[in-house]
Amino acid sequence: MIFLTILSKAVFASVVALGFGLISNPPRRAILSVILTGFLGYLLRATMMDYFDIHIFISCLCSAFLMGCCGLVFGKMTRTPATVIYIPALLPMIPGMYAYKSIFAFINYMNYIELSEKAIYLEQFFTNFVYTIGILILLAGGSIMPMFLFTKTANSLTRN
Amino acid sequence: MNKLGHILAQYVAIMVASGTHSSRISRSAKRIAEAYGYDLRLSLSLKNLSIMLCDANDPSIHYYELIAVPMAPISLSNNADLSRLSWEVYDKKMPIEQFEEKFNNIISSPRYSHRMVSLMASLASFGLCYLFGGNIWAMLLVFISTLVSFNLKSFLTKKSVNNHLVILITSLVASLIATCGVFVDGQTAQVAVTTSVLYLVPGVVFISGLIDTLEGYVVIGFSRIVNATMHTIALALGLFITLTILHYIYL
Repeated sequence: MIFLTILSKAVFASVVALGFGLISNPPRRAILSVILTGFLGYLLRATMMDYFDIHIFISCLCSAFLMGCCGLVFGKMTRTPATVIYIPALLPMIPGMYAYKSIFAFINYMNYIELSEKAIYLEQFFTNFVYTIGILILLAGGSIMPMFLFTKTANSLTRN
Repeated sequence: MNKLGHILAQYVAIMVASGTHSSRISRSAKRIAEAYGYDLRLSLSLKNLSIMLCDANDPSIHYYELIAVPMAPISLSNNADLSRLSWEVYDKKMPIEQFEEKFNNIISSPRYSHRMVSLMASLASFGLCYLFGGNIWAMLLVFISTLVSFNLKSFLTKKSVNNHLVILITSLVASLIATCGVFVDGQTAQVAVTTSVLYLVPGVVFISGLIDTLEGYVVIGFSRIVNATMHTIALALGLFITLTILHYIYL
C-alpha cells in the first residue's frame, strides 16, 4: 500500500514539474526529460522519507542530487542544458507547507500579547523558517553539485 | 566586426533576460566570437551589459557596445537553443548572415499558448495540493484559484504594472480564492491556501543566481538572488494579508 502511495505521489510530482515548467517555456524536446526527472526525484524523496523514515533534509539533498544527474544524462540525449531539465523538476519539492506555517506563526506572534504564547509562536516561526530556508538551499545546492562534479560534460551538453 | 558585435550584444542580452546563468552566457558568446577569429570581453549585470569584441591579434581594433537588457519573461527555450546555436556556429563556421538568421528565428519563435500554460499550471497546482495532503475539495479550489490568478497576472503584466506589485496582487487573489476552503473545513483551507501561491515561486532566477555566485559571478548572482527574494517577499506579503484577514474573521 505504501508503495502505491509513493508511486502516486511521484506521478503527481511529474505533473507538477510539467505544469510549472511550462511557465518558464522549456524547449519541446526537453519536456519528456522534465517529466521523468520530476518523477524519479520525487520517487526517491518519497521513498526515503515515507518508507525509510529518513530526515527531510537528507532526502531533499539526495533527490536534488539525483535530479542534477538526470539533468546531465537527459541533457546529453536532448542537447539541452542540465538546468533546463532539473529546475522545473525541482518545483514539486518546494517547502510550501513550512513557509506557510512560518507566516502563520508570525501572524500569531504579532497578535498575542501574553509572553508565554508569544514564545511558542516565535519558536514555531523560527523552526519552520529554518526548515524552509534549509530545504531550499539543499535543493538548489544538491541539484547544482553534479554540474560542478562533471564540468566538462555539463559545458558541452548542447553540442551536436 | 561591427555587425557581429551588435548581434553578439543582443545575443548576450537575450540570454541574461531568459534567466541563463552567467558562465554559460560567457562561454557561449566567447565561443561564437572565437569561431569568427575574435576575442570577446563581457561585463554582465541584470539591467545593462557591455561587450567588447576585439581582434584576436590586435586588441586596439575593437567594437564596444553597452546594451540594455530587455524586459522579457524567463525562457528556458532561449537558454537551450541559443547555447546550441553557439556550438553550431563554432563547429560549422557558418557565415555571419546565417548566424543572424538563425538567431532571429530562435528569439522570435512563439511561446506555448497562454491558454495551455494557464491550464497546465492549474493542473500542476492541483497535483501539488495532492502532494501536500489536500483532499479533492482543496485540489479543485487550488485549480480554480491558479486559473483565475494566472490570467490576472498576465493581464497586469500586459498593463506594465510593477513586477513585484503584480506578484503581491496575484498572490493575494490566489490565496483569497483558496480561503473558500473554510466552508469545507480548516484543514482544506490551510492546504489550499498554502498551495495556491506556489506557482509564483521564482525557481529559475533563484537557482541561476546561486550558480552565478558559486562560480564567481558574485555581482549578477547576488542581483538575481535579491530579485528572487523580493519576488518571494511580495508573494509572502499577499499570503500574509489573506491570513491576517482570516485571523480577524475567526477572532
